[in-house]
This record gives sequence, structure tokens and C-alpha cells, in this order.
Amino acid sequence: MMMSTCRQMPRVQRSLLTLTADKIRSKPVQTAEAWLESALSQHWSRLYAVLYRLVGDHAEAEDLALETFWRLYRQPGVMTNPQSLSGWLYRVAMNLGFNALRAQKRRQQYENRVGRMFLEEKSGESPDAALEKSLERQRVRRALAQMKPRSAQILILRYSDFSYAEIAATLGLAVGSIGTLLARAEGEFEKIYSSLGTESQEGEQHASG
Amino acid sequence: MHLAEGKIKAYLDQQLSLADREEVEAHLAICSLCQQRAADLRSLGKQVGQHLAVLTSSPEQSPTLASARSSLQNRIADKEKTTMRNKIFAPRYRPAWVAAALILVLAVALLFPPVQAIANSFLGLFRVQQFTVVQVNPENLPEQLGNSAQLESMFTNNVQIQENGEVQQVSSQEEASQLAGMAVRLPVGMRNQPILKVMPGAEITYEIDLKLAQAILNEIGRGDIRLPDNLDGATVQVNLQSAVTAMYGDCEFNPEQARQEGYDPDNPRLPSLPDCTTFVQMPSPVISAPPGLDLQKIGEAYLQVLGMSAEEAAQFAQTVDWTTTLVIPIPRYGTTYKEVLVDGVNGTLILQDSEDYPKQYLLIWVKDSILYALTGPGNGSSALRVANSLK
Repeated sequence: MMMSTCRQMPRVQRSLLTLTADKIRSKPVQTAEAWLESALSQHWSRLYAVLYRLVGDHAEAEDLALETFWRLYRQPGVMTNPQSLSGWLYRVAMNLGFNALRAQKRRQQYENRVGRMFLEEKSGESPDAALEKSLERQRVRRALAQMKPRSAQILILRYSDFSYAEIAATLGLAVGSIGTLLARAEGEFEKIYSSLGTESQEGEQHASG
Repeated sequence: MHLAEGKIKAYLDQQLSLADREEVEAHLAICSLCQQRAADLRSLGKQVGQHLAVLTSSPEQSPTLASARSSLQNRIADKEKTTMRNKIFAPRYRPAWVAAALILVLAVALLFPPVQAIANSFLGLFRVQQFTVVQVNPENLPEQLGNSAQLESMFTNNVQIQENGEVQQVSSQEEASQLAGMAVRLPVGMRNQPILKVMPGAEITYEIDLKLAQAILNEIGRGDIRLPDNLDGATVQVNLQSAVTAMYGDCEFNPEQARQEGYDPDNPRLPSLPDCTTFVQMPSPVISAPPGLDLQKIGEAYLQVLGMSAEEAAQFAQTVDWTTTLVIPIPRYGTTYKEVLVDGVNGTLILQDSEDYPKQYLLIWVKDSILYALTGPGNGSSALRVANSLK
């Protein structure tokens, strides 16, 4: 039932989109492309930075950021409303980013190996220091992936310098609740992070063996 | 009266209005307990900040706005093409989801669209009297499967689906029975009243084009899989009768909202419905295929597409009675299954217990030529009780 509804969606969506896009295009003031351009110039670097922080890979962060803007392009209704635009963009980016982060968890063993080979070739930084940093990043991301999604999102947004009001708008929460949720999220993160301390080393041995 | 933790946190993060800030400062000046809490929160925040600091990137590595702009233009152009293709493809494909796929796809293989596509295309070869579960490793699945143009073209050109009517909502068990032409059974003792819907039957005709099928296998990088020659031109007919679904609890799925939130309609990892139990029943699909079709060989190909080696597939294929069994692929990780005694017969309980997604169960069984599927949130402990209360 659920699936059938979804399968029907693209068709409906398309016609809705065409309809709305035509409406916007018929306005002399601004076209869908112009809206997209203004959203892109306003939000690109910040959106990219948030996504990079989350997934830790330039190509993947870029892909996800582009995907977010592409979806925006298909949603002209959102574009024309500046109040909801920013919240929508970061919400979508967060969802995509976290899906990617969870998928990463499954790829991790492979990446451990590749990462090590890569690091050994890399000049400048001593291999040990670089490896340690990479393991540290992995540990942080694994902790994030294990957290309750909302907590992890609050944390990432806050540490990307989002104000409480912006976090609330992005995640659809009340501004007054952000302090409490953030404090709780920080506690949750530290707990999981420290529990991963010994485990990640075992994982590393396992992956290299 | 002490300060709320959230307020202290907001104060430390400089997120309070002037009035609130003054209030907090005034209280902190006289309350050592709140001072201690503030100090704890500050040091926790500092620690988290240090840990998360490893995640920052250097700005010069970020793609510039200009390059983002041009990549986005390319993406829009590319996706327009795909969307057009999907548009052509979706309407014909859809009815298969409504009835047949309802059972096997609803919750089992939710994790992979490719498997669903394959399972559906092969469904025509089975007369379902029982289920067998085969565990597949998602990593072994051909990646290209999900966006195979040839597969789409096969559905567009070689699969014909005729749906006999529209989905109808009915108000009682009797009405559902009458409309569906079978004795509809419903669980007793549910908290909510069900929403009952009758899905129309459908006739699916699939004319096998061996060349095209082989081309699909090539496209997905499995040109090594060989299909039996006598498959070419064979027509397979699947006759689906009406199915009845009963939904309990909060099952309203709002596709528009989900899409807004960034869920991809083509990616079935949709927001779960934490309070929705769905019960589906339909007469076993009747499938007619020409005699002489080597079902076991086709089954082997199917299993290979799912990632088995030729030897494994051959071995497994021997253990299955392909004329009566629907082989359901489930992901090897995050999903478990077991045989259970349900409703007086053997059934299969499949659990999605990956930590990444909310737990969900799917219980399937066949009794008196009726296929039953019950799916809901949780680990399935209530599933058997519900299933055994059917009346």
C-alpha cells in the first residue's frame, strides 16, 4: 500500500511541478532558475560545509549538496518562500547526509584498508599522525551515526554555527526546547564516543587482518 | 527555584534575549548548585567541541560556487531525462505493485528496489503456495539494476498489465468479502477499527524476449548468467485476484510531506509508521506458463542475479519446488527470519532489526490457497497473537 502510493508519486509530482513551474515562469519578476540561483549563491558554501562535516568526503558532500539543490529545483513552491527555504534546505541536506553516514558505516572496513594505503602514500604529514587523525574522524562519525538522528542533527547544526532559532526552523522544533535537547545530545554523544574508544581499535585490527 | 538545564545551556551559547540573560546571571550569582551545573555544561560542551573539531574541512577544498552552478545545471539536465523515462515507465508498472508486489514487497525487500524489480519480473513464474527465504548480500547485487534502461523497456514493451477496477474503501468485513469474492478474515481484539480496502485483481501478461533478457543481464554486468533457450517467446500469465488490506492505527502516509522532508520516493527507505499494523490477504496468484519451461534453470538465474555463484545457485535451486514456491530475497544484514507455526500452518516471520531503522516485522503464510501477510512495528512478539486471532 505504502509502496504503491509512492510509485504513483513521480507522475503526480511531475504534473504539480510543471504546473507550479509554469506559474512561476509566467511571472515576469523571477523565474525558477533565478530563484535557484539566488538560493545557491546564498546557501551553497554553508550547506556544503555542513555536509562535509557530516560525511567527511569532498566528493560525497558535493554530490549530496547538489542533490539537495536539485530537489529544491523540483520544489518551486519552497523556493519562492524565503522563510521556509533555509529550513527546508538544511533539513533535506541533513536527511541525505545521515543516510549517507549510515551507509558509510557499512563501507567502513573497506575504507579502513583504502585509507591506510592512501595515507601511506601521502607526503608531508607523518603517516602515523595522519592515520590517527583519520581514525579519530571515523570514531566521531561512528558515534554520530549511532546517536538518535535528531540529537545528532542538532549537534551537527550547532557545531556548524547555527543559532538556536535556525536549528529550530530546520528541524521543526520550538526554539525554547533547543537548549535542553542540545545538552542532552552532547551527553549522548560523549557517552557513545567514549564507548567506541576501545572498540575502534579492535575494528582496525580486524580490518587489517 | 533553580534554572532549567536548557536555559543554562542557551545562556552559555549566548542564545538568550537580554531580559533572559539578566535573569540567568542574577540567579547564577546567588546559586552555587546552578553555577556547578553551568560549569559542567560548559566543560561538556568544550569536550564535544574538541571532538567534533576533527570534522572541519579547509575552505580551499570546497567546490566554488561557479563549479557548483555548472554541476547543478548538468544534474538538472540529466535528471530531466531520467524523470521523463520514469514517467513513461511508472503507469504500467504500478498495478503490479498494487496487488502482487503488495505481499512480497511491502516490507520484506523494502531495502532494495533492484530486488523488487527482479522479484516482480520473475514472479510470473511461480505459483505461490509457500515461501522460502534466501539471504542476499546487498553488496553482491548489481548496482546498475536500479536504473537499467533495458529493464524499464522490458516492463514497458513486454509486460502488459490489465487492472480490473479501482481500489475501493469498504466499511465492513462483509462488504469486503462480497467485493473481493472471498471470505475475508480479520484479527480480533485490535485496539483500533481497521481501514479496509479492496484492491482490484489484475492480469499480467509477460512475453519473454530472450535477447532483451540477456541484454539486461549484460547491462547489469552479469552476462555470465545463461537463460534457457526455450524461454524465448514464451508467454507467462499471472492472474491476480482481488486483495484486501486492513490497516490498524496511524497508517496515513503522506507522500507529499515525506518528499518535502527529503525522502526519495524512489528509495523505499521511507519514514516508518510506528503505529501502523497492516494485514493483507489475497488468493494465491495463478500463474500459467508454457509447459516445458525449465523453472529450475530460471530459478538458478534468479538466484545468481541475487548474488549467488553458479554453484550455489544450482545447489539451492534443487532444494526448491519452483512451481509452488516464491523465493523472497531478504538482505543478509539487518534482517533475520524464522519458520513459525501460525494460523495452523507453517509461516515465515521476517524481522528487520537493523539498528539503523525502526524494527519491523513481516509475517507471511499461505492457508487454503490464500496468501496472508501481516506487518507492523516491533519485533513480532504480537504478530502471532494477532495472526492466531483471525476470524
